[in-house]
Amino acid sequence: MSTLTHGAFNLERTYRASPERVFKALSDTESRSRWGAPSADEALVFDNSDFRVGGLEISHCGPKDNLMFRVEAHYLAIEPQKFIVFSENVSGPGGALSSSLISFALSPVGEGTRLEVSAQIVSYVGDEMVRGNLNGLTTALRNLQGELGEI
Amino acid sequence: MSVTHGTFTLERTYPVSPERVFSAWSDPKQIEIWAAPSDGWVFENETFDFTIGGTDLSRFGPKGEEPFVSLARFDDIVPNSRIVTAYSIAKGTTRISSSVTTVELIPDERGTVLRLTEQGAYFDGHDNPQTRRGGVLYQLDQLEAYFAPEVADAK
Repeated sequence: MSTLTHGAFNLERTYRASPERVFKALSDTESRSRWGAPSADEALVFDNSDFRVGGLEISHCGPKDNLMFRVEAHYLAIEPQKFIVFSENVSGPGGALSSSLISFALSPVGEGTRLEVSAQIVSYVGDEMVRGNLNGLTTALRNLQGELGEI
Repeated sequence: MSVTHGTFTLERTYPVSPERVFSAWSDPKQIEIWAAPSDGWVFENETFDFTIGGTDLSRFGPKGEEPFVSLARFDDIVPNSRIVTAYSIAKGTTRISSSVTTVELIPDERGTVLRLTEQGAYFDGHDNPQTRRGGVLYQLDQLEAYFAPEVADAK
């Protein structure tokens, strides 16, 4: 029998940087591998870079000595300096973990940029993976302030 | 450009087996019959690769007009149990929506409960969760009508 768990959450942050800089940090794999890993013991490594509508980007993440999670991102809509929408499939050693639809929307606020993140998730392994996505994105957005500075 | 997000869930019980419902969802020839929009609209599948990671490209819309193009990717397939699809709809260069849709088939004594959940992002107000829900509901009705002759035969 099928067991799917659906979840959705929104996150918001305002960074002390222009929309151009925030957009670059969100789309550049080199920058993303810096702020995308949740902690110093973990890593996010991109197999390729394919940032265009229809593009497929594959990355691996996990503890530095065991990048056990495989992430496939499919870019669905891109508007420079404004938004990025992609779907993401995450799998681990035991198979598929989650499929999600994620959007990053940017808007200028004074000297900075507001980033609104919306994630809609289907987990194949219960609540845990919905929480995992939430924790991962929350930490990544916090790390991003290290790249950009935050208001 | 604006993005609106929304989720809806629909549930239907069909008086046929999960195998039968799964077959109707995984065979492009059957889909063209039951998922076809209302009269005066055309619907055609250009590619249909029903494998995990495979794509489904279809066109639909009022006869004689520029069609909507739907590009789907199968994220997960468990035979007779579930299908997870990420799909985007566009018309020409206008993006309309991107969604992740799950179809779960749950056997019960009346036949099969189909639970469909669509999580979507809608661009620039070209569509919205309420309208999409109505369209999908129409398709689930059509599927019931599609099964009706064989259900009558079995009685």
